[in-house]
Amino acid sequence: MTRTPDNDDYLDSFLSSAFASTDSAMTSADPELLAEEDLPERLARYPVVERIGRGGVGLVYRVEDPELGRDVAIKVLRAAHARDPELVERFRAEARVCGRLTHPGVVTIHEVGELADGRPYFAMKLIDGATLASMLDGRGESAPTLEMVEIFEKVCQTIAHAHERGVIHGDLKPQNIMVGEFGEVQVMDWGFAKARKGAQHESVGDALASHDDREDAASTRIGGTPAYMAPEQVHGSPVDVSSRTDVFGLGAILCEILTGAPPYLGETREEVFLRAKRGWQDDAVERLEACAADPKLVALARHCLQPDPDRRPESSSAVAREVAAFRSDLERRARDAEIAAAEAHAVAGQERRARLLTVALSATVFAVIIVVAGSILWFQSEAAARTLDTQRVVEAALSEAASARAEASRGGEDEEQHWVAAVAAGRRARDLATSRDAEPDLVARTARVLSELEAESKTARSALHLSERLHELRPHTGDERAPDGVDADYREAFAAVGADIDGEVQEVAGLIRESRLADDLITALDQWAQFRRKHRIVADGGWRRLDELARAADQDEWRNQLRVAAGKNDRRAILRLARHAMEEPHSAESYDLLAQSLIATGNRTIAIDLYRRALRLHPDDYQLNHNLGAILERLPDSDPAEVSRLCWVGAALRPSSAHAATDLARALFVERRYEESIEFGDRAERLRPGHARTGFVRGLALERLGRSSEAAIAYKTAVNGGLDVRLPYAMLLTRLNRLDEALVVMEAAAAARPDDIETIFQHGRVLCACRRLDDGIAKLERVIELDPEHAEARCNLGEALLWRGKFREGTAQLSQGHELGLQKGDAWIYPSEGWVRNARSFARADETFEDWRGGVVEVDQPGMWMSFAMVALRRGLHLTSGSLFLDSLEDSTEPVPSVIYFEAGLAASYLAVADEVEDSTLDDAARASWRGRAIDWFELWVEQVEVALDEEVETEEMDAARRAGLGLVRWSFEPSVRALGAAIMADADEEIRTRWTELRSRVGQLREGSSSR
Amino acid sequence: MPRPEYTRWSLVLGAARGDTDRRDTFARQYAPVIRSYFAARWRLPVDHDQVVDATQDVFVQCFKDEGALERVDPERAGGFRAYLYGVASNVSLMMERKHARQRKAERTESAVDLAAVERRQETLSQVFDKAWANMIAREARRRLAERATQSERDAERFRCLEMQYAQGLTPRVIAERIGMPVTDVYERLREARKSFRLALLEVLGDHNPDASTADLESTCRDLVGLL
Repeated sequence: MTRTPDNDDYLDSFLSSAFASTDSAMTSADPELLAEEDLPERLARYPVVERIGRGGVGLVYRVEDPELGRDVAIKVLRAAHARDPELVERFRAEARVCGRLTHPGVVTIHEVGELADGRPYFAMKLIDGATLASMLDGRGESAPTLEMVEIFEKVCQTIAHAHERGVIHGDLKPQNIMVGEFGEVQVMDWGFAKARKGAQHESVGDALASHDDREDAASTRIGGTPAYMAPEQVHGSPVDVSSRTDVFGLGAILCEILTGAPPYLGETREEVFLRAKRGWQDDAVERLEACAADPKLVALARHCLQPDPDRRPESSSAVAREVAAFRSDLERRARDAEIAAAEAHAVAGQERRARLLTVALSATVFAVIIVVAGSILWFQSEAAARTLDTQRVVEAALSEAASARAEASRGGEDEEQHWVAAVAAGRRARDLATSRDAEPDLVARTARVLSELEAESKTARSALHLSERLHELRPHTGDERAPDGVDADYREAFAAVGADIDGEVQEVAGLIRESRLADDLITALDQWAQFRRKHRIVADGGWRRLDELARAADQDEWRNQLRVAAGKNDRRAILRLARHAMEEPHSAESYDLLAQSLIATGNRTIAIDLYRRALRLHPDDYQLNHNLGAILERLPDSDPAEVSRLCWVGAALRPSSAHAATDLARALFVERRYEESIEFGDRAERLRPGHARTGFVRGLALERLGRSSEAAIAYKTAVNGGLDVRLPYAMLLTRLNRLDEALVVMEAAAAARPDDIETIFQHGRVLCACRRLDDGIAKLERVIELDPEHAEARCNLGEALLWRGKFREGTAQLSQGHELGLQKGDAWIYPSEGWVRNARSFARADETFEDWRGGVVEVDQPGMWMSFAMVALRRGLHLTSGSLFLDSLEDSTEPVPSVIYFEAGLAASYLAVADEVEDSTLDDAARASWRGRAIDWFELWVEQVEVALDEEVETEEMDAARRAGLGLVRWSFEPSVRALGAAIMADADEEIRTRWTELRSRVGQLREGSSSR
Repeated sequence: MPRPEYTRWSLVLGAARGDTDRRDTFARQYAPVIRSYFAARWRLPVDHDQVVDATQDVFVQCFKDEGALERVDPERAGGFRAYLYGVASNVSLMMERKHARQRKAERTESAVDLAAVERRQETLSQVFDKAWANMIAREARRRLAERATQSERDAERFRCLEMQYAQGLTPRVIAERIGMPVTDVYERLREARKSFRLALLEVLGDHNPDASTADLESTCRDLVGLL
């Protein structure tokens, strides 16, 4: 072999892989223990009573302490986190914190240990009571009671104690405050606690040293709850988190006590997150100012909630002191009020009559004076006040516009919103000035300002849209777009800023450098170059042309070194640059470019470390969050919660990006948070209708929640968009009884995956349901050939064989399927025992039928004739079947099951369209006669089905509905019924046609009803 | 005695006919790919009994009378990689059913999270593809190592390559370690890379006998994305 490539830029990656000591794809990962939902019998030495709590990291159980004969609480790390060293360490640190903080407000730890499976646990005092959150629930904005103030004071004291010991809680919220039956208050969940550097008390600092040392690693996780978090905590920078972060948390709790809600509210979680991040407290301030609480408490809450940590109270002790002073004052006032009330009560009887008379006279005179004086003053000042008022409101609107414009000019993710706000405020100013007859100068000024704002906004927003366009073009995981189309789109996007990619290099580079979107454009050049390289687009200079432009446009020397190294696939140089980037800060774009180069040269693990480092420096960068999430998502052992967190941040940073919303929806689905997944899937759909990936993610979540019809629409979107999700789509359509559509989709799925057992099986099922029995039987036999233990396939095959009159073979398949199914235990949900019984009855009836036909036995019971009729129908002896049904139904004195009418109708429908049958010829009169019987019997069948579906007997109802549903589907697909329908509509009289139309309509309605159960 | 090299389909068809040597080669070469797939699918270590059993089952399915290999169609779309993925996927489904039954029977938790498997289908095929790309790279290395037994020069080349990529040593350090002028080390490395490149294209050529050199290079670049 003498194949010689022209260049070998791919070789380093292969060599790295070939000589790697271990295969990263072979790393082990924990099984996510499904049994977590089940209550364990014991945990360590404690018999378990019940589960009383479940958090993201741990599960809390009430257990019995067999030695002391009391109940205690035990907290266990969740199985999914057992091999996450960071979470294990955090869990252990929580126990250590609780163990060292000897304070009535911190729960007492009895024991710390490891379960047999290696998961850490700790046993602690069990507090019977309620959380502060549940106590506040439903209170609304009513003024806080003395009890609430006392609880809050105790929380402050506990946190003050923790701070004195150098420990910061990090997740203060009402849900983490437990109030016992005897009024004891305990602060729970120290899982996010961290040791403060330079703490005076060495003991806890030492105890937590290992945790403290790992600050950098821990900082990749955002601790706390956004609705209660201080801005510095949301930014995720561990160095900024201090005891004043907890002071903010105390303020947040106080805010909820006073107003009934935490400081940050929003319609969506990411809105809350964003508000917390930006420290937007307009709403909280408004609520606090409007609440009925004492102004001192309101002022304290606002002081604690200052976004700037330096402007908050200096310590939690100071907060505790203020609350204590307020509580003392409150108690004193309560005592004074009680004394005053008692004194007043004593003299009230004597003075009541005299006081009432005096008060009435005084009030009347005072009121008259006030009204007269007020009227005179009002008339004099009204005109001047109106002018001043107009000027004030117009100036306020102009000021608002100027402020929003300044915000917008600073750029950032909210720039577009600020421009919208600026123009809206400018428009409001002009309208106010015009409508309120303001001074002409003011009217002219507002018009000028509005005009300027509109022009600036238009320019800025078109740039922003281009920026978003470039982002949309960015190649991503699972990208299925046609390479040429993407290339053309990039070219068009650059043309929008006047940059002709084919122009002279320095000229184009200069244009890009001077653009308002210079950074975005240079980043896009890199991404475009990577895209061209990956797809081997060589036209127009290929990736090298774009690389050259990027190097010319970008003045960052370090990035240009990286481009050169990446261009040569120089793994060593890229690693050297990565080492440098780990030590020296760089821009987010540089980190991204470097990480992508690392991945391209087979250094994914280093790339992940680099992304984490980059996110510590640039937590707000969307691309970094997104790309790290995309990489982690593809790893078999990644933590779904971490992927979710990255996606949350991404969605918060790009609230108008459908891509980000879809990523988050998918991450939430993986976490089995289906409702939230749908929420973000819907948002993505609104932002970018009809996208395949969004459709698939939405479909998955909708289906899990039983919203099948909506799921089908979503899947269809995905399939139409080119995603190969035909099998789940077809299966869903089958469940919805939409067999025509299911069959079309299933055919396509089968063509794409000809050897996949599940696809063949589902294809066979749909074919049988559509009455293409021979095709269906062939598919099901193929499944059994590939997997002889496929119970469902055997059962379906058995049923199909029975319909083909192969009773022995069908019974054998059903029996085997039933036996295999039973081995599955609860997972086997089919009533296969009944099917087997039914099949054996058929087999027996078939034998007797043969003897009866041969004259060996005589049968004169209508019940047996019905069995013979059903056997004959399956054996294709339609005339025998029809005649037997006719005789047995006429002679029957017992109620006839609906299925008999159904099968009788089937036999009659065959005869109604047949010329010759069983060596007999049918004339028009005979066919007309069978046609009438067919309709009679089908009508009787439909009536019984309607009754069955209306019955409210729960246990039987489902079976009745299921059986009825199958019959209804079968009726719709049965070839003889279709032929009968066609014949009736072609040449039957009006009455028959009307009856048939009504029958079809009733079946359609019933099908719809039964499929929705 | 070096093993004979087979084109992929000749290896497959030979194995299907019962050729022991071809069966050994087949199992040795593809076992890591299949193990990686099962380990990822079930989130288990690669040496977990269940993973090992399932890998064995894939070979049983392939080699048994009228087994999957006998139904191999060299003309089928997707090539051998798609075929092997299909067999592994089917075996895993069968094992999952078996575990579901056992779980019920024993009332204990299963190591198999069926729901997780379902939702990770997309990722699993990527894991398989990645393991496939690794297998191609390792097979190229194996061929290079075999050739290194045939001449001193080849042995020197392989040794330099191994020291550079397995141990991360620079040419200068390699030169010191093996007592060779650094210029010679550079020369050996250049030759070794060339040999590796040819071996890589050979392996790919075995899997795609009709492919042109340009096609194989294109495949190489696709595979780099999977590594």
